[in-house]
Amino acid sequence: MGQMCRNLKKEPTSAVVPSAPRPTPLTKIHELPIPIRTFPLPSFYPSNPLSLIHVIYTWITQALTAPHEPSIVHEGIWSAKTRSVHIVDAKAIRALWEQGFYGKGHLSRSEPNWLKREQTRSGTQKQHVAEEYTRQRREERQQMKWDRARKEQEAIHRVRRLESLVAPVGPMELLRLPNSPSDLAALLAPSDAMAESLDLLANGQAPSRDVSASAAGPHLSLGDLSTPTAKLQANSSATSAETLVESLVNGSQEQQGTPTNSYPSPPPETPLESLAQIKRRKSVRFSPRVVSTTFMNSDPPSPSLGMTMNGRGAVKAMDGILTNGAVPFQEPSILPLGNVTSSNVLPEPAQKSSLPTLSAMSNDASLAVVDKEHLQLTREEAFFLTFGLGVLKVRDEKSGELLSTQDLQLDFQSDDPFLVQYAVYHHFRSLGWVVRPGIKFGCDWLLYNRGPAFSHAEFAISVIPSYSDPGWKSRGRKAQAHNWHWLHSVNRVQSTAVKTLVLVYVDIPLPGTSDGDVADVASLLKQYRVREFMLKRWPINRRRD
Amino acid sequence: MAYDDEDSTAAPPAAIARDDPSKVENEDVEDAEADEAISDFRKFASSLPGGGSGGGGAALNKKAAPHVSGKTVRRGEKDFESHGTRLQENTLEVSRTAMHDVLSYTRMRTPDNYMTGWYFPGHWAQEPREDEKPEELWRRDRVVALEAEKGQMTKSMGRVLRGAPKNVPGWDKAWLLPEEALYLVERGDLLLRWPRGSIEGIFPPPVEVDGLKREVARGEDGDYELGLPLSLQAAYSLFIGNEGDRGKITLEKFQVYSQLRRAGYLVSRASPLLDPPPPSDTQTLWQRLFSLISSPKSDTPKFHPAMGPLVRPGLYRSYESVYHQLSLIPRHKPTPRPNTPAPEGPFTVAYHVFKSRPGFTKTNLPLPDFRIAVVNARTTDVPDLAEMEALLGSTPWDPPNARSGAGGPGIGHMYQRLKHGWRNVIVAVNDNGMVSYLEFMESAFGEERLFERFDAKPKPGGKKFSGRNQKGGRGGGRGGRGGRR
Repeated sequence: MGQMCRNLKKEPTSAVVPSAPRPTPLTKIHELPIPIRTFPLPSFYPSNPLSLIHVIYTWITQALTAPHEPSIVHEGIWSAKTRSVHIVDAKAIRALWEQGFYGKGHLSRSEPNWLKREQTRSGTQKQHVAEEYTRQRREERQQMKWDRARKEQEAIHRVRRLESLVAPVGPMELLRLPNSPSDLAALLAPSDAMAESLDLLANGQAPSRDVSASAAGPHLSLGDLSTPTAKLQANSSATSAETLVESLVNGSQEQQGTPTNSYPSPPPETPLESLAQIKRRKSVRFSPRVVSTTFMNSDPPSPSLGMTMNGRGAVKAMDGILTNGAVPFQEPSILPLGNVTSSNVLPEPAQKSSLPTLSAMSNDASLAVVDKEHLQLTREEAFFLTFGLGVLKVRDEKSGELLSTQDLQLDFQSDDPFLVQYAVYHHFRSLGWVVRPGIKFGCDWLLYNRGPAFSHAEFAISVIPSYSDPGWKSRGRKAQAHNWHWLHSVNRVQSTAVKTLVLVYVDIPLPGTSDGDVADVASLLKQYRVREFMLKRWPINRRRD
Repeated sequence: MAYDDEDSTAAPPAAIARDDPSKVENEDVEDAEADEAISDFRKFASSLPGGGSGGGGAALNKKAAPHVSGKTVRRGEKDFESHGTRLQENTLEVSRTAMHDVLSYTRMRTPDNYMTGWYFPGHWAQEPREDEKPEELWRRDRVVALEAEKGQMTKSMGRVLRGAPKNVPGWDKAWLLPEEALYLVERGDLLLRWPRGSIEGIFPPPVEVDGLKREVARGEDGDYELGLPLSLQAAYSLFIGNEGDRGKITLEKFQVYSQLRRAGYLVSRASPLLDPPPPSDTQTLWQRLFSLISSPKSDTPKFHPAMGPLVRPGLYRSYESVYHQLSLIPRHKPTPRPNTPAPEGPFTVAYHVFKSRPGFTKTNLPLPDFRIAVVNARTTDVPDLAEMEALLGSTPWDPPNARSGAGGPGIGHMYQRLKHGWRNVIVAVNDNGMVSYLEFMESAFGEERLFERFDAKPKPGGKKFSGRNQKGGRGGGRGGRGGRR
């Protein structure tokens, strides 16, 4: 009854959560390909003379209001420590992300959506968060793999049952029968018997004599394996069962709980005395059910366990692997991530939102969530926005002064790695591609058509500097050679990620060949030569016909 | 026998699960290639004449055996652990037996199905290289004379040097290149002999008897008197040499040659003489008139503000004008006649490769399907810009067109155009016999001006780029996996 009241109470709480508004179409959000708006004149149709008036009207209004693009120049802060430009203003962050996909949220994978994620997590808002989708997909894939493994096991089991209907005729099968010499050997050498039993466990064929020997105790023993379902469980959790056997033999009860692993949950009371009764032979216990548990990355790694184990709540295994759990494993409960004694609670994942008090608390907490995220621009991105488009001003971190284009480009040599990378960045940006850093794919840049929100990157760019000018030879400057193994590993990664590798050679001009001021970035960049070479594996057996 | 090692790295699902009627969904990296990887030794054994099921090699029909070695063995499915079923044990046992049968049958050669060749390393050495004609390419390197052409192999190997004067002994014989001879010896199709005497003793000029030309008949044991049969090891030591040795071939090149032949391709040594002339760039009258009217708009603006911003503040009617100002770094424009030097060193096209086709004649070679350069993985590096330009510049002009599936205005077609490239070449990277083939394409992103699509009206029936990719949403880009090459 009380449970029902709770449920009734919970109803209004969930109604408070604003229902997801109709999502804005992506084409609307990312309407502008660059942070510059264009004002095309409406087209004139000779068949419709009125359209001329429309054209003239638009022209006059635009002439009067005189839209001056770029209308907004954003401001960034040059952070020398991270060698990146930080954008703090929320509007600028959104604008730079939406209009050309510049930068990355420093608390996010790429799109600066930490606040949104927090709000979605605490349940105050339901929004589309990319990271959430990724997590979901991973879970689904995990489930799919789990199902597949189960089906394989079922198929094996089916085969095995069919084969068990046939009388054993082969030499190996005859050997495995009870009263065979191998059993005799097992009786004579008890230590070998354990290995033998493990072997039998893996084979799923339990001799009846051993069963009677070890059938003491209320738990599932090897004898129960003869029933099909139990056998299946024994197979599906073969590895964990083996570790369990080993641990029991060793006298200590170890338990390994890794996230998203399935394990047989041990019975709540484990009488260690019964272990002694079974004369240390075949003391295998199985739980009647196999439980699969999923942990979120943000979950505390079983704090109750850690607390009772070590007596201190703050100490826990970092990656969620419990080292020595003598206490039965429990469902993870919500506990603060930091120290236990502090009372102000970080908003935890609302997976336990069935408790109204907790969810209300997390609601309150999320109201106080302040957007702490800023946008990080790489030097190339910041330089393109400043030098190319003129939509960004960069201030110095300490002095707060505006930095000029020269200041941004700290080193001013033509073979400066930054300029080489920037030449490639500018080259592809000026053709209309969305260029983003590709370090996660082992390359220098990734090329997106329209942006990562629309499609996956199609091309991966690896930049190779080239010093083909004969003047470089006299200066002793040579490009660093790349060996074939490097190329193959990069290419293999790209084909796994369904991208095409492009080797981009940048021919670096000799310094000083440009007459006049070296500080003229534009004329320096004009002397670079950028050549693209696409690369693909040529599978010899698949191109024959 | 070559194992198929070109599969994707993803492991196929275990054998037993395949029997499951409900289809197990595959991993995202799993390719459509998996369907090719199912055959195994059992299938190979059953393809042998006489079938592999009989009792070992004795059951095999030895007469039909010669072509067995040309077949490919693909690996079977993997079970990663023993699961104790009799089915698995039986499968393993059958495969083992099949493999044993395949490997243990006795290969026999009868004089009917092999050819005899004589090794004359110096016979054509004095011929000048300059006046070579396409019909008698590489004659200085041809070192083995065949007594008689026999079998399928000679359809694509060896060449009778028609241009040679009739008084030269051996003028009417087919002469093999070292890699061809070595490959034939390796296959067991050629018995190589080392001559004791000069070439006149072996191929004597025909004697005129009663006004009729007659071949001089040889005695029964004549061959042994004339020369010694050579072993495979001897053939290797005679034919394998360094780069540039006349009448020899490097080990890397031979390995690539023999691998391509075994894979079913037809291979010939490359020569610039075989390349088609570049397309003429003469314009039609109409084009010339048209170019007078509309002078091509320069790609880059003449003036750039030195310190930026390149896009000057102001009112813009279209994104094209904005991007025009951004254009700064010169873009590559592929041309049919590039000004690149001739390639040197290892990055040179070594072989022309043809797909097997009916009506292939070695005297009238069609245009090759692929061009392959062979490099050593340990002694060379990834080519630098000059090497790459020279290598690709030596290949013929092959722009993307509608035939290569790159005609349309859509974004998928644009990807196709970029991936097809304007020239292409294959580099076989040989690491001590393990060969990795990489295809390099000369690409030109500057030819695809993506920004022109930004000005397109989104409404249907708008401008010419109305058919742009409106798939939107996540995962749209990966949907076209099956359509890729």
